[in-house]
Amino acid sequence: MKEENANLPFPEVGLLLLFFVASTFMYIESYSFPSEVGRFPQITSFVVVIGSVALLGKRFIPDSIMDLLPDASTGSSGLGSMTDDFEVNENEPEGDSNYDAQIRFGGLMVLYVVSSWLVGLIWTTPAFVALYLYLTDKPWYTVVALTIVSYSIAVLFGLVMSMDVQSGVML
Amino acid sequence: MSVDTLLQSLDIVFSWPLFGWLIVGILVGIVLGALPGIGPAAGMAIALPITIALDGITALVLLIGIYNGGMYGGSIAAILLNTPGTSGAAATVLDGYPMARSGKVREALSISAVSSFIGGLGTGILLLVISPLLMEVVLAFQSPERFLIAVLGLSLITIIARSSITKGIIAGSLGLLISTIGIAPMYSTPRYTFGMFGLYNGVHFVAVLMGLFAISEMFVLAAEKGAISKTTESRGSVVSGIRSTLKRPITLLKSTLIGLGIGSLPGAGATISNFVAYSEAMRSSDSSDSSDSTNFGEGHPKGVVSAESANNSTVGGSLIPTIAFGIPGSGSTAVLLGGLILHGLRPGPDMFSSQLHITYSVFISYLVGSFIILVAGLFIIPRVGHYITKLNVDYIIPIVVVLAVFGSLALRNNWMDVFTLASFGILGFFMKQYNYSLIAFVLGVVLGPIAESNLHRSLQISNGSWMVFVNRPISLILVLATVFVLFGPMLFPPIRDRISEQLG
Repeated sequence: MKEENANLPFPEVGLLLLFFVASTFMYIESYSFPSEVGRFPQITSFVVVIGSVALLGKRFIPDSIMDLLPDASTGSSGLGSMTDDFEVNENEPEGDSNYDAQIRFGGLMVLYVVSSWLVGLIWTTPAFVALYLYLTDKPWYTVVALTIVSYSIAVLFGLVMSMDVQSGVML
Repeated sequence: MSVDTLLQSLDIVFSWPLFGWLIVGILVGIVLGALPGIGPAAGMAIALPITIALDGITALVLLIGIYNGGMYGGSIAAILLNTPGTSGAAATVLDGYPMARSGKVREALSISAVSSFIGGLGTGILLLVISPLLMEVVLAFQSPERFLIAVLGLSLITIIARSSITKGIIAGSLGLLISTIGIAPMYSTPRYTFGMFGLYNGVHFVAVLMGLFAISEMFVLAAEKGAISKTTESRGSVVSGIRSTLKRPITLLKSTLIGLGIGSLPGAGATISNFVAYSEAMRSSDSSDSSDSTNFGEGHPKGVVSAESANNSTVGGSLIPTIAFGIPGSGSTAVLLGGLILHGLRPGPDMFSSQLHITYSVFISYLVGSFIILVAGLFIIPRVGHYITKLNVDYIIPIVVVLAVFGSLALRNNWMDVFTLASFGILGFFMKQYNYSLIAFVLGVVLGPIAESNLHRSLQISNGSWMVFVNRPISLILVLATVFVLFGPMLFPPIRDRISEQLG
């Protein structure tokens, strides 16, 4: 059991460290608020800190205590497990090419968001769609069609929702 | 039941353009539900900011339409592709796909449509009938009970969701913690804003919902290759499917009640209900039921009837905790709750008193939506269903991202919401990968302000005494239930083992 629980995947360690650092900061900061205002963040951040430490440090926890804690690594959650209603695809990325596709998607999305904030959405939107479809080797006519669709979405939102899609912080 | 309010709600639902929005919602939901990996929750999350331009009732009707249509739509992929479009159609695969393989595609699709219709119709009627009882229950809840029900809802989700208890509690508490950013409820003190005006109103829960449900799903889809479907065209008879369904009234009734009952439990969604209904159908089946001697798992129509009537009635059941207590039981109802709050509606007593016409409109639109599903399922889907599943995911991904970005910016014209969308999209992907329940997290974000304000109010009423949470029977029961839910799984195995030893 101890060996089974010993090694968390590296990205999960990163995730738990993020939770730990953020919640520790928020716990400490909560003492700068008046007592009634700080109470709720204190309780919730404390729970996150303890939970994160428990999972990060589980390789050091004795088996007798670990056996009391149902954990995802054993697949047991006491009352059974179920999927959320939107989680149907449980596919792990199969090999580097799928993981690369996810990295590419994430990178393009972040680039789209940041560039849109800097220069406005009206041109970055069709550029993002065109670039994504080009990089995924789609036929040119579908690239053109969806680029036009995305530009139309940008114009529509600008008109109907009165959003400023033409400018960003730099332009 | 207030007849005047019921008639008013009927008038509202059948008015134009609201009825048109219901049809749009159902059709969009069917398409999204038919695409494995997308599902109604992502579609509802994308639609949520768009509903800002609509009034509250229209917005809710649209969201209910997407939810209801999505639940039915999951059966299309289940039957045609051997892959459930939503987890609520997982049991439908077992007999739906074998029916398709044996040349009965249209029969399977029409069984699914009629069963979904009957499940939705029965549940919709029951919801309207039991609403006065619900009203009494909800009105008995005061601030301490509302705080405790929020805590119980979170603890139930963390247990039943697909994760460890520890990970579920971390996810739920993290959501609660995120909800503390901004001006504290009932006080005017800013928390964790770092002097940034954009954070004074906190992290917008709709941006969080869109990031967690829509964007994180796109990460998953980005790893898929090519089109979802490679199957052939639809064949078989729609009429035989209708006959097949209608000659199993007991199965329909049992499955509908199973779906309603299980759907009304926070955290217990359509995945459980359709398997429980399927198992019950299998258990109660005998050789006289099978007109062509097919076994379950080999294309038995009863398998599809039970699963599909249960999963659509789960939609109706899940509305009860969402509207009555603000406790969503699934991703879709979490987004629905977001829609309620976005339009200034508070779950709880108001929804059964001053806003009763809205509640009835929601129930009626769910009921009427079942008729639209029936029409679409019998006349459109058997002809074009296979085209939906041939869509390439790479066409869907960039459009969903664009809609999500514009949607999040439309919330408050605040770029913080777009950054929230992107950040929680990435965070949500990793949380899903490593089994940290997104439902628990979302519940924390949505329930956090409700829990905190009721906590403060309760302590003010009691002059700071925490005994206010145990000195009424309802609140004591809720405390005990929470303790049982959180610690029961840890205590029961040792107790059970000890008893077995002593008996053995």
